[in-house]
Amino acid sequence: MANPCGTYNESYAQDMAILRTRFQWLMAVAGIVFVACVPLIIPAGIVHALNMMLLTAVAALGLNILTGYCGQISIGHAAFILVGSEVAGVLVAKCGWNIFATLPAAALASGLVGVLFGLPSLRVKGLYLAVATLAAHYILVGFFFHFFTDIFGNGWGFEVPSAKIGNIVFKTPASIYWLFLPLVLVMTLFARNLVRSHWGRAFVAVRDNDLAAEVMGISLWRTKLYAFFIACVFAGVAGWMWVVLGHWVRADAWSIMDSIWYLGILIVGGLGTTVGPFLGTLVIRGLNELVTRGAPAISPVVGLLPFVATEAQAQIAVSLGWITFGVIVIVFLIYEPRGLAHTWSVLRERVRCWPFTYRYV
Amino acid sequence: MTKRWAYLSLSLIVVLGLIACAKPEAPSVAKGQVWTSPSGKKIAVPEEQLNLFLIADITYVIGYWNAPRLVGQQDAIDYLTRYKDGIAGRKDLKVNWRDTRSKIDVAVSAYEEFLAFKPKPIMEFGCGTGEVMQNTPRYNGDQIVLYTCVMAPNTTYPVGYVFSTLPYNPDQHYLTLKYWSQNWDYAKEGRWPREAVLSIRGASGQCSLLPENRRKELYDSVKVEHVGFVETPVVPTDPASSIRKLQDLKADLVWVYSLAVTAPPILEENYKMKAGLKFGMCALMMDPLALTKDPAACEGVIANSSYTPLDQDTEGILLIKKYWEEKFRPTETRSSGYILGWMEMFVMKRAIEEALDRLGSWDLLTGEEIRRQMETWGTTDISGFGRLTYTRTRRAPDETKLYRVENKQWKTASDWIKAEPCVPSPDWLKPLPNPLPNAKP
Repeated sequence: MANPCGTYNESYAQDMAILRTRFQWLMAVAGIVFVACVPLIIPAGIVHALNMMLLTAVAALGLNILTGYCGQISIGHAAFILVGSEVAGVLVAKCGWNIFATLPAAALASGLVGVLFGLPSLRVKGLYLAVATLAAHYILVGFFFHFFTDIFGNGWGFEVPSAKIGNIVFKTPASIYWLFLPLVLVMTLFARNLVRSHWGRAFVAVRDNDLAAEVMGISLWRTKLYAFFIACVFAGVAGWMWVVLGHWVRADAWSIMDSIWYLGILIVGGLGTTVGPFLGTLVIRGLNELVTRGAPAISPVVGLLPFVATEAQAQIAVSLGWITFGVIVIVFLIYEPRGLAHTWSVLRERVRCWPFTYRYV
Repeated sequence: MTKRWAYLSLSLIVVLGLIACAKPEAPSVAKGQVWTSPSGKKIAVPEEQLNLFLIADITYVIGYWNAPRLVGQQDAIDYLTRYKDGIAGRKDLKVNWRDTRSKIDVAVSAYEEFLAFKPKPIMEFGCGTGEVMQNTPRYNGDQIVLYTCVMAPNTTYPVGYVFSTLPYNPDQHYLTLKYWSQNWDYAKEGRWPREAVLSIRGASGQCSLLPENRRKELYDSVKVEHVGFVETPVVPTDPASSIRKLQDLKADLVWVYSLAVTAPPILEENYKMKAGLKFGMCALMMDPLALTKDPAACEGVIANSSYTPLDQDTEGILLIKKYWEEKFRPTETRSSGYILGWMEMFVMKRAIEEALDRLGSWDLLTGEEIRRQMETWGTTDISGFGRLTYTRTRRAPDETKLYRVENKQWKTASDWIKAEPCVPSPDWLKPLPNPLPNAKP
């Protein structure tokens, strides 16, 4: 972030600081306080939607590290979320663990499984790697469906009790939101710092030209597998969040389309940026919610159209919603292929320079 | 540029105008209006709208069932408000629906959204194996009664507040086996009939299997040999391979658990290949969509359902047929899902009115009280739409009729028969404490 006029970095620590000035700290704290107060203002149903967005954002952050920074395409990300949720669910429901203790276990388990399925990346890349990760999805879902049915519930899954700390039960959308928010902040900070570290530079080097990166001394296998590990740790955390939110773990809760939409979230939000996953989640999941909630509202209007039979108005209203959703995504990709993160940075710069259109640095 | 803005503004005005016109005139409730219960109690009618909630797949694979169901609910509301004093005097009824597209997270979001309504819901309608199951802890925790179409006690829905309006899946399966057993010429064939199960992939595909701990006993009791299980996708792209697998198992009879769209390719391929397999289907597949273009291909297919068949002129069916004609409903809407929509409204009306008659006030009406009231019903006819069983230990119809496809139409093949429960209930159901004195066991 460019420093305000008159602010100079006089040390490495200042140069590396994410929040450099007091004003930036103030704005960050104010922003966090505002975000934390959101459940007090908006209805519970929308808070739940926000919880789903937070979960999606964490998973997307992980995929962003793998795909956006390291350039490894994965369309099996939803399966790694499933791994995290199954591990957390089993430890809570079958082994009696405290749900908070299962968070590191879920993250680690998912990460290790991710390393296993990241091994093909040492041999193949691009679309071939995508197919390999697609296979990972079916292998993992099939495993949880058909193996150890006493433990994993034979596809039906099992119930997981609500998270609680002492007498505080995290059952309402607001309480879950306040539980998720610090977690998401920590994960975001971790992701931001990771990409600024030597690992982040290694990821980018591998993404841009893996041969040159190897020539420069970057260990390809270690970098790629580490990227898979980190991405799947994030997925494992998202899986844990689903357990807290959903109270039920089942193998078919995450489909291949979810994995594909995570890639879509990154593309819409902006690959290779920390803010991109959040913006993409806001748009994609937000549009999702809008279509789901808005379709019943426009259904009576659709029914008034002369060529629409009233019994079909509900289905047509929903379909119109999805058509609009698809058109918005396509139009957006045409006019802003670098994603919303780029739009955000342009907007930020315009506001900063206002009333001037640019500034001379 | 000006022209562009003009067109945009005009479009906006037209859309807003349409939205304004689309708002229906809600029947008004005068302040201080009372409803007289069957026992003569005067119960104040609340002024606010009575919200009803449907969380189901409207546009995806189960859309063929739930879209007519939504239409049926809306038509039933229209009828109840015009001719039957609404629900306990409340005529401002609205079905709030959310299309889950068979996605679990959408179902959870919809549930949480509806939970925020004031007053809190006491009854909802749902469909979708995974979605309802995912929300089951919520329905139990928040004490919301859920109407769903079908379920299985050994796999789907370990439930408290969820109940089904069709017989349990294993019971449907067992009934079909009994029918085949009664129509199999044991002397001529010299052996037992061989039955295979053709089911969709995933967890829900297993829910119509007979319980594992009793499977051999149940098959032996009807003298049918179970030869195997074949998986099929919901939309079979290669039905020939499924038929060949069934032939490899040497099956004579095939029980199919899937959705309506699975049936036509399988039946047509069976007919084309002259495989001679006889099919029995679950109640969810009893739909016009399940019938093939060629009448010969679907001739003789059987199913069982607790909804009243269309060839019976009961009060409910005559009402439905009248609405079909008046509203020009197409064939796709004239299905079991539509009947379910009507039936649910009448179940709800009866449950609420009986509970209110006992409680005396809407403020005391909760999901728990609705359940308590319904436990007194036993097996009951719902205004000619179908039969329902609700007792302390059973929450799915135990009376059903067999249907057979004849000349591309589902025709009644039996009178009401008892669907024997294949799975013991007490381990699975959670009866309410403090039941009413006349609650059925």
